[in-house]
Amino acid sequence: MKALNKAVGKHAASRRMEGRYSYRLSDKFKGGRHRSFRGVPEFFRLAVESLGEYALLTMDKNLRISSWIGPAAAIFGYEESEIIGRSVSCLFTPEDIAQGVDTEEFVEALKKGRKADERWRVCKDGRRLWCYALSFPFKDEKGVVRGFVQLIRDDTGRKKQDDLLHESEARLSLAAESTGLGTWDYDVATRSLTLSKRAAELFDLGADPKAAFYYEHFFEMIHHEDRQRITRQFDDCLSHGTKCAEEMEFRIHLRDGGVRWVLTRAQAFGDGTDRNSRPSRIIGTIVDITDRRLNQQTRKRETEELVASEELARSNSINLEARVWERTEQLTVANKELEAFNYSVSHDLRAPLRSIAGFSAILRASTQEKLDESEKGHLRRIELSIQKMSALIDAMMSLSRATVADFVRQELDLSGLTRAIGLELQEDQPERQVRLSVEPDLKATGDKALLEIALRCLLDNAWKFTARNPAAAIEVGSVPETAPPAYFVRDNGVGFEQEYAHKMFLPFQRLHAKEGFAGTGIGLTLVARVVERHGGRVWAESSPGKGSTFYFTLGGQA
Amino acid sequence: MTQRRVLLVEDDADDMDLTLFAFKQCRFPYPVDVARDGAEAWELLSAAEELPALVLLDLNLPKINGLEVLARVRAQTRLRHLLVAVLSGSDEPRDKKEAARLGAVRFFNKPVGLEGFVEIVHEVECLLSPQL
Repeated sequence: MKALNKAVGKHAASRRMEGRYSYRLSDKFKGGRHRSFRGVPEFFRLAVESLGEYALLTMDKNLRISSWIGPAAAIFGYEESEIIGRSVSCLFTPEDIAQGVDTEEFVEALKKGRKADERWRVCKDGRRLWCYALSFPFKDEKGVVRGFVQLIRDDTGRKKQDDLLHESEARLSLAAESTGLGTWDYDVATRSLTLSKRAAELFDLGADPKAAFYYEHFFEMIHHEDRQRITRQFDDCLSHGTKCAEEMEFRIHLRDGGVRWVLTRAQAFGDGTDRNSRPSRIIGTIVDITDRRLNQQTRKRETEELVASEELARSNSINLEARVWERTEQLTVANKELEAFNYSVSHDLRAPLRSIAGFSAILRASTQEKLDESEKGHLRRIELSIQKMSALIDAMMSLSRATVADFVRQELDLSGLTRAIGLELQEDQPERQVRLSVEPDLKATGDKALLEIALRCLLDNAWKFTARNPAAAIEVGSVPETAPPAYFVRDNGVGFEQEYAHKMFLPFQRLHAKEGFAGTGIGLTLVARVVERHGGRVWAESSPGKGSTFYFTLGGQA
Repeated sequence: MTQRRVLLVEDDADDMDLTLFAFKQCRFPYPVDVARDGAEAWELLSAAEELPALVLLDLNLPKINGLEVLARVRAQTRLRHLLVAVLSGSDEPRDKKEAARLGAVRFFNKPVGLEGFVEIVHEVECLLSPQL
């Protein structure tokens, strides 16, 4: 308050200089009752109303409130009757009072003729309001300071918004800087770019990032290979109005001759009048993506290499497949040729064998009386060999035929076929007692002639290998619920060692001594060949003395 | 009445001899003429005033093969009803089928062993006996 009194005194010395101002003020209040505006003429009421959100206070030179006009009561909660005569300090915060701010404001106003100020003020109920205050010294006609006039506006709402804005800006900038994100702001009218610290770093502007940075500079810094593209994108952004949001990736030439990859996201802003209007600003973020790009390039290269190697592998595999297919074809053809050759060889072998057999028989007949027993024995051996060879040739021929013969798939009554073969076997060896049980209505699709051969072989074997079992039994049926259906021929014969099972299907392989069981050793090979031609599978299960079961499938409908 | 005859068409000397031996051994009651290939057989048949009672025809023959001879026989009005039996080294189903289609009464597969030939001769004799 001392400072104020001193200032008021000082002010009196220079009052002449401010005469005009004081005159005008005094003119307005001429003839009025200064302590209050109550009852002032209409002119003043209107003048005060036109102040709108501004409250008008007057204070005497001891800063005691002398008038309380406009929204003052509404802002601070004090009725005029309560506040008149009280020190204006009651509107200041205790912190400000402690620092003498409550008088300082008016000292300044005296010194400078006016004082604008923003600070927290206190309401009647203790609430604090952020207020904008404009203070003037209030002088009489002689220029003597009589007190002060103050216009106060409650800016708390605005302050809050500003604070929020600042806060979010601070948060954004913190976030941006901590992630290495720079921001830039392009003013379309001035063609100038304002960069954040980080953005300036990214553009490698060096020690003087505040230097004027214009559109043209910006484009000069872009790598020549990217410049055209980015210029186009930027111009697009400018011409597409405020809807535009662009993402641009480009390289920046660095002062050390290096290159930095950056990604910038730009958003155009208009003046708010029209969404389609030409933007007045473009604001963007910018981030260093050199590592990412390099990784990308590495990845791209790796991907390309991978793709290339995959393609190579694919083409190799296609080639391989083609080659396998080709080879398979060739093999199939070769196999067929081989079988045709086998057939014709077997066929041709039969002609000389016929001669040997025929003429040795003639010889035997014509020399019957002349030969001794050992000579006759030799002839017998020749004849036995002829029989064996004939059987082998027949087997080879049927094997060839099973491979090359025409193949006609049809619906077959497997039960019927099996029974017919069983009857033939029984007729051939009526002395054998074999119980043959056949699953009724056993159906199969396949080539009749070939399947007959296969079934005959399997039944033949079963028949043969049950010879030593007085209660020989053969069972033919299908395995339930198999797809494709699996059929079986089961016997209670001598069986075999399971470990040799795979060898049985090879030609001329025997698991039993020839003396025990006669045969050409081709039967199961023939079965395998037939099953193979049907696209099926054949396998066997057995153990010595426990009989054997031969299973086969006939593939799909191929 | 002229003697009933049989025509044997066979190119293989051994098979020919064995067949003839079987005929002889069986005391086959009819004379057997021979032709050494298809062309010769066809000439004989075309020119013959008296047709053979039966032709025993090999299939794999030089010049004109057996099936072709058979086809020609069936195409000739005069020969159409000729009794033909096939005696072949092949037992190809295709050949069997074709021979049957062309009206061959039997299809004998050349056997290994003399007994087989003898059996065939017996069967041939049976084929001819109803006509006796």
